[in-house]
Amino acid sequence: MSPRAESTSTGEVHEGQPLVGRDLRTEELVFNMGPQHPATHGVLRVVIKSDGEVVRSLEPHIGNLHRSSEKIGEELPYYQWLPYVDRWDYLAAMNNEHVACMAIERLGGLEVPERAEYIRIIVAEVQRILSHLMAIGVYGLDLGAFTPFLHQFRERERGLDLLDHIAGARLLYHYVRIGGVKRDVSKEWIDELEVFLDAVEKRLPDYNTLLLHNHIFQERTCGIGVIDREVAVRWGVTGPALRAAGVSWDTRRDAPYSIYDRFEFDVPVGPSPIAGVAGDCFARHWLRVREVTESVKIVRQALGQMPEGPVMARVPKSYKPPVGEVYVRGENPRGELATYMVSEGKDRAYRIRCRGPSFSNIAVITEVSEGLLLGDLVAMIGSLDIVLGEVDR
Amino acid sequence: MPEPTAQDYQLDPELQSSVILTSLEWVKGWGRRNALWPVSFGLACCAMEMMAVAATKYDIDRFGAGVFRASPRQSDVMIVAGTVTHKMAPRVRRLYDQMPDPKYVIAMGACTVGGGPYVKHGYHVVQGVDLVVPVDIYLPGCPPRPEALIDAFRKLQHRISEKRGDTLRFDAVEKNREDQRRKAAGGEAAG
Amino acid sequence: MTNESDSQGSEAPPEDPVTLRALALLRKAHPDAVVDAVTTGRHPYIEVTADGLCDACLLLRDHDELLYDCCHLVTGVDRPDDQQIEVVYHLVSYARLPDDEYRKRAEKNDPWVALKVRVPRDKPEVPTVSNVWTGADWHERETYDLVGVIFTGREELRRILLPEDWPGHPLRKDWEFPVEYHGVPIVPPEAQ
Repeated sequence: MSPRAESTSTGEVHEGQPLVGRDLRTEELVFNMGPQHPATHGVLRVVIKSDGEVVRSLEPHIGNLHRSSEKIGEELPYYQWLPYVDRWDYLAAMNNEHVACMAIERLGGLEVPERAEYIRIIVAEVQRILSHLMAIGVYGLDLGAFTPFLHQFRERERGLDLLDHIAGARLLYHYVRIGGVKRDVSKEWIDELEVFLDAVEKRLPDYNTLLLHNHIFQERTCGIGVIDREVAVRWGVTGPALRAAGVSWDTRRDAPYSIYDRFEFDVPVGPSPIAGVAGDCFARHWLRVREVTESVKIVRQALGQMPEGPVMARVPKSYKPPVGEVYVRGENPRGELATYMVSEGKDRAYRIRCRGPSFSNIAVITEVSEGLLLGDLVAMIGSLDIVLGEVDR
Repeated sequence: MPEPTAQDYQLDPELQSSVILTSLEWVKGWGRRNALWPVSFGLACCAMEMMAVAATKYDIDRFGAGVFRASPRQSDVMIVAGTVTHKMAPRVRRLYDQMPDPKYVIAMGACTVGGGPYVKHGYHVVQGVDLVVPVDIYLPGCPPRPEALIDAFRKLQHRISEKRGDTLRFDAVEKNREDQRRKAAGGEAAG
Repeated sequence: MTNESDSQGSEAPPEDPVTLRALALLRKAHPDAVVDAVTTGRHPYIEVTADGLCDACLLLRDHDELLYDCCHLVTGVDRPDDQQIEVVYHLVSYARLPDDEYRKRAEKNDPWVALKVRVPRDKPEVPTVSNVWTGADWHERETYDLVGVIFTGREELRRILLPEDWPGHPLRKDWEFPVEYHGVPIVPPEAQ
């Protein structure tokens, strides 16, 4: 007798109760998602054990983009190693450079000129806006909405042009240098930047109409993939994913580095007032949208306060910080980037360790994805907004 | 050999303006080069510029190469956009093998051209994707600008219409591997 | 490493209250576990023995005045000159956010406490803390993968970034480049 017949003969059928689930037996299936998959945002490979459409357990396999930047940091002088920092989180190159330069400067006790600090904040926040725009658009793409992607790229291209003007590259800049920034910004550039900020603010409600207030989008994301406070903290999740879970922690506000203590801005915390619960996919998406507005605020304040002056400190040609170690944290668009650096008094570091926020953010899916539908798993991974460059480094 | 024209067949002058004579191969090549379907295969930083090419401002659709497919079995050009590592290399090869013929490869970015910035100390980076799959177009830059990728597509289209297929570095590596294999087999037979 | 490594100003550098408090409570609860401590400078840390690491971590996590609920980073530093490997743990607390002392140091971008364990290089075995903080799991796997520190007491210790059959641990100072990996040369063929 087949198992199916056996179960139907013993099971009682009640009125209005669906037969599926009680009656239909499915086999556990192990399969592979990625490394070539449009929803894994790069080369993440996930081995999924599923029962029908439901994820029973999964294991992420990373390392397909391991580019050995920590080893390179031990082989090259500090200033030659800086370009590799861009390539950790390639959507937030300016933020990476900012944190790495802070670590190197703190090792040697270098002071950065005031104007350079302001320029660093401005480019870092512009980069955050661009990164979040990309995250918003690509999340739409993951869930089957192509239009927001095309819309956000219009603003993103304008922002990339801005950074292109000062750094000479569209994506990986090598603009923030040890002791300051590469070159000063002009009056015309600042005017352009203000036009860009206005455009972002003007367009943001349009994106929200397409996604945030879209009923289909809400159905796909509300209450899906909930990472609650306890799980998020235990796994070391940081950034928007942590704040969406209800932890009010933003390194820029609570442990201000650089000159972030001079600016007024809100730190939005989940759950979203529009829909959903704390820590779900919707809250994470909503939080990014809110953070774009806050970044616009910070850039405007920085532009207003920025003094005149030099943009580069006097750094010796052969920069040899004394023996010691530092641990520096900074708020990247994806979470907390931290760098642990050990100096032995040479022109290159003895050991460099980078804590990419996506590394911990993606580790958490092993615990929270159980019981998700396969389609929701895509929504889950997309809402974490990982960049494999910093997962693998 | 130049393609034959209506004049070569001494057609009626009236027909010469309304009839095009050509080889079937040429028509196939013409169709092929103007409808390239790339596999959306983003490895690293360059993938962001590949997305930019597909998006609003640059719009690769103007050149008939905008249908990014998620499956290698539906596509005929692979843009290797980003660093290929030793862990990833067998998967790149498998994706290439899964693509139907004729297939083309664009090596986008310095890493795929020859290891890029990771060439010296990057122990886990393959020194050029052409050690793994044959490459038709090399596109340097770290990352290349979207204009450069459009140019790479135009060059690939030109190559397709010229029916050229010289993938020198990969061929050399393959020959080397084949020699080694033969030598090993010969050594075993001798021993 | 001594306190003098950080020489800023002529007067004695200020002590770090966050590390001091953790140190006092640790010394009280597990006096054998603490080996050494640096409480001044840019990178204060507490050095503990490998055997006492788990007790120390549990105390840091569960004590009402400490509450370090998140393991931020696990690092291995190879020191062949001393024939030692250092394993460094950076811990942060979200539960202590209203705490004034913690927040005061947070304003200097330093709201963490660091633990160090030194183990011999030829037998680099450290008990796992992945049962204390789940997030340490992947960090431990990476430290094993790149530096070759063996974490004991956990269910599986596999490589995470590099392939399973990769030779050696690349961030050891004496690691040598392999010539090729699975037929793909690591040194380009033109240079051979």
